[in-house]
Amino acid sequence: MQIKRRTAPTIDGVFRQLKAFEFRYRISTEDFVRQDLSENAVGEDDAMEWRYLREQYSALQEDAVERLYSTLPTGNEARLNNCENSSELLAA
Amino acid sequence: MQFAEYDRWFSEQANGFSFEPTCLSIGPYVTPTVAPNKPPWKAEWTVLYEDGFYLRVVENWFRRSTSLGGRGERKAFSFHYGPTNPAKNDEGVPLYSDDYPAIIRIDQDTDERGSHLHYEGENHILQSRVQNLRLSNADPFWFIKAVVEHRRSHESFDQIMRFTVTK
Repeated sequence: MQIKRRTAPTIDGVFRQLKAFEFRYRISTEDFVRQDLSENAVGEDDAMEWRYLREQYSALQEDAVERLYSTLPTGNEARLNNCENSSELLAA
Repeated sequence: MQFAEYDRWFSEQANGFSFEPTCLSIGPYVTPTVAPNKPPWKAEWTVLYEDGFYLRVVENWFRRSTSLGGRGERKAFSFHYGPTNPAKNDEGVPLYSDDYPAIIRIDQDTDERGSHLHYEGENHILQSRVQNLRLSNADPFWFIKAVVEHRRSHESFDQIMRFTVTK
């Protein structure tokens, strides 16, 4: 039996899924968090899926921040850039 | 556990199964969230039988702290066998409904209830009433094997899995 992969989730996609849950059950994210999701209002499958989506959303946010930081100049590069800027300023 | 290790294990185990030829298999899927293959990840497999029953196993692996090496931890799972609800999601997976109660279902979620069993019409049987079966250690492929055996022999699940539920 060959293992399959789903398309990698995106932050927007997961956010939309979370909002769809709130819309389906007509309760807010805060209510979702407060409520015991295993109770009858939200079926056990949906409760489990909702919690997993929250975890996914948090992981995707963390990943986005890591990616952003990785594009910023490191300490040495930043200092070098500042020096270059300073030289330019002096030359001007 | 790291994703690659889990992925390999799941693939090896899944390859060992052959279902009745008329079955419809949805999955198995093993999907990580963030490249390169970090947690959280999800595994799921649904098998629909022609006689109106289905099995579904789902495992949700969450992140552990980065100080533990970014490994995954199985925090939630659901192993279900029972009659098929005709109402299905976009992929054809039957929707969970009280109108189609499971014959057996072992659940664990991140809520306060902890691992529990649904069995023969009774819901949310806690570990304290289940003997000879550690619910939190339940393995999806052990569960699938039990379903296959149940369908072959018509033995009850408590006989096959050797557990008892106390009053």
